[in-house]
Amino acid sequence: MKTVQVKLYLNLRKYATPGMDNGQGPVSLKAGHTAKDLLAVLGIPPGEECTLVVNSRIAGKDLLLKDGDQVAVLPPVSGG
Amino acid sequence: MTFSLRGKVLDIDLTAGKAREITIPEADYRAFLGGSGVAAKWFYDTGKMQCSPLAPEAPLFVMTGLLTGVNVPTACKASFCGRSPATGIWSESTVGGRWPSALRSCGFDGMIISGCSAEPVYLYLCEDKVELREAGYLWGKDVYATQEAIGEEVEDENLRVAAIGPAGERQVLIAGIIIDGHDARAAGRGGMGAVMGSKRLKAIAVSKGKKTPKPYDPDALARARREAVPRIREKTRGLTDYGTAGGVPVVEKLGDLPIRNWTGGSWTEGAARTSGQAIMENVGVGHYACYRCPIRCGKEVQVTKGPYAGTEAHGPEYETAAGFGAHLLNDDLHTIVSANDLCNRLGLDTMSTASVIAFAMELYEHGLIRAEDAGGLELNWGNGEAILVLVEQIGNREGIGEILSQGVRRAAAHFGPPAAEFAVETKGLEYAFHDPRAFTSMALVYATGNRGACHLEGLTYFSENRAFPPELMGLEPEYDPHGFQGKPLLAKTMQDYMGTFNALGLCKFLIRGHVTPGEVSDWVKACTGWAMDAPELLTAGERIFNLKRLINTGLGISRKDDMLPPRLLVHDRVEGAAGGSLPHLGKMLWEYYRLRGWSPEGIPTAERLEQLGLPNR
Repeated sequence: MKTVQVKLYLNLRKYATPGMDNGQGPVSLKAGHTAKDLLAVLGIPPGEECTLVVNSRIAGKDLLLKDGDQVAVLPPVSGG
Repeated sequence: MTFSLRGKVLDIDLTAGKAREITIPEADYRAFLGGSGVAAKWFYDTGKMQCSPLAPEAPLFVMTGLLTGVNVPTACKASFCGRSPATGIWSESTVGGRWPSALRSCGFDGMIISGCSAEPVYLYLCEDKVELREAGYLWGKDVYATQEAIGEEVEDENLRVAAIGPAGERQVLIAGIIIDGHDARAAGRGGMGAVMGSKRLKAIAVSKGKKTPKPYDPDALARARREAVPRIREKTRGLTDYGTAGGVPVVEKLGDLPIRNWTGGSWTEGAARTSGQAIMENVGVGHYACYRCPIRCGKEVQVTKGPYAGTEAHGPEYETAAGFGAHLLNDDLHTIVSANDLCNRLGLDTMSTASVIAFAMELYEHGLIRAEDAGGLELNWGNGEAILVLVEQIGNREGIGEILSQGVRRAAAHFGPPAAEFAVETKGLEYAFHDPRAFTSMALVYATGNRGACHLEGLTYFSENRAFPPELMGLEPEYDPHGFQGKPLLAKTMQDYMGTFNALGLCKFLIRGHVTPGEVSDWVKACTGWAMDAPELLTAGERIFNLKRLINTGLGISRKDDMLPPRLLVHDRVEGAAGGSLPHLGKMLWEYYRLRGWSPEGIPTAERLEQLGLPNR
C-alpha cells in the first residue's frame, strides 16, 4: 500500500472522496498502482478529460505513483 | 441559391463628413468569409497599407462576422482592423457583447472609416439613418459616461455604443475600444483606440434595428443548434461558473501563468487568492452573456478599491487577473478588479497595460527606474497603490505614463540597454498570458502571429492540454508539452481554423465545446446556402492567414521578426511544471514554413499564393 496526496481542481472536486477536505486529501493505493489507477479509484470516468501534475511535473497516465507523491488533478487548461 | 446574409458597408470620410454605401461582392465573402477576413482583403486591395497608422488617410475597418447576429451559438463578434500604431503591422481587435449584432440589425455589415474630423464627432446609426454628430461635449469623458451621455441624447435606453476613452483620445498606443459601457467587452489589442482617437471619432452608437440577417435554411440551422448547444454548455461549465479567471490556479499548476514579468516558476497561494472563484466569492454580483452565447462567461463585480469603489463593473477576465495579479506579484483581488475597471473606463488594453507595468517594476528592481523618475512612486512588486496610479498615468499620458503608454518596445528603447532584456514582446505586441515554455506549440503561435504575440491566433495550449482534443482536427491526440514533435502541424492547423472565427463572428470558446470545422461549415451552409464543407472552410482560414502575412511582408516582416524575446527563449522557469523547458523555436519554424509553403525567410511562395487564389505582388 501507498498513500498519495491529491488535490482536485475546479469541477473535478465533485470526485472528492469522504476523507478529503475541499477536494484535497490523502488517497490510498495498491503498490503497483499508476496515475490511471488513481483516477479509477477516484471514480473519474475515462471520458472525463483531465491532466495530472505529479510533484510539480506534468505526468502521463502510466506513471507509477510513489508513497507521498503530490498529485494535482486538473481539468483541461482554462483561461482566456 | 441566394446569399441573403449580405448587408451594406458604409464608406465614411470623416474629413468630408460624408458616408456612402458600398456592396462587397459575394465572391469576397465566399473566399474570405467576412469580419477580419474581408477586412484584410479590402485593406490589401486599397493599397493603403503603407499609410502611417495615425494619419487621416489610414483606413479603419469595422466588420461584423459573416454569421454575426444570426441565431448561431456565440455569433456576436465584430473586428476593428487596420495597421496598428503600436506594432506598425496588420492588426485586428475582435469583440463580442451586443454592439456588433445591433450594428448588423441596422442592415450594415460594417464600415470603412478614413479621414479626420475637424472637431470631435460620434457616429449614430439607426436603421437606414447614418449621422455624424457633434461630440465636443463627450471629449474627455470616460467610456461609461460616454455611453450614458449618448443614450440620453438619442433617448434610447438600449443603445449600444463602441467608444474610446481618454486613452484613445490622447492616442495612447495601447488604447482599445470598449463596447457596451459598464458591461465592457473590449477590442483591446493593437492600439485601435488610438486610431479612432486620431480621427477624432469618439464613438459609434447604434440603436437596434429590424434587419438582422435571416438564415437560408432555418430548419437545418435549428437542428444543428439543438445538437450543439447542450454539448457546448456541458463542456464549458467551468467558464459559466467562474468565468475565464477561474482558470488561474489551473494555469499556474501547469507552469503556464506569467509570474513576475515571466521570471517566476510557481505562485500557488497567490493564484488561489486571485482566481475567478475568489473574485466571485468576494465581490461577484452576477453573470453576463454576449449575444447568442450559451456559455455566459462574463462576470459582474463590485469595485471595492480605488476612485470608483462602491460601483459595479465588469469582472476581470483571465488575462486581466493574470496580468494585474501574478505578472505583478499582486495577490490583492480588489486591486485587480479596480485596475480592470480603470482600464475599461480609460479605454486601455488590460493586457498591454499590465505588461508595461510589469516591465516598469522590473526596471525599478534593477535600478533603471528610480522613484524620482516615477513621481515618487515606489514601483515594488505587488504595490497595489502604485499599480492603480500607473494605470491612470498611462491612460492620461501623465508622468512616467507618457513613456509607458507607448508599450513595452518603445519604452525599452527609451530607457536604453539593458532594458530590452526585460521587454517581453514580439513584433511590438506584448505577450498574452500563456507561457510558450509550458506548451511549446505556443512559441510558434506567438512567433508567427499576424498581429504579434497573440494567443488567440492559434490557442494550441487548449489542444495540447486536450481542452480541444487535437484528434477532432485529424491531428495526433497526444503531445509532449515541452517537446517539439508534431507542433508545427498543430500550430498551422489551429491558426487556419481560428482564422475563420474572427471572419465568421464566432467566439473561440466554441472549441472548448468541441465544435469542429465540420460543424461550423454546416452552420455556414445553413446560413448562406453555400455548399461549403470543412476542407473549404479551412482553406478559407489558410487563405486569410496568408493574406495577413502578405500584408505584413509588404511592411517588412520576415523570419527575422518571427522571434521570441530572450526571456522566453533562453531563460527557463527553473521551478514549477514548466521548469527547465525551453521551446525549440528554430527547429519548429523550419518545419512550419515548409508546411505553410513559405520560403526559408518566411515569405509566402508564389506557388502557394496561387493555390490559395491570392495575388502575388
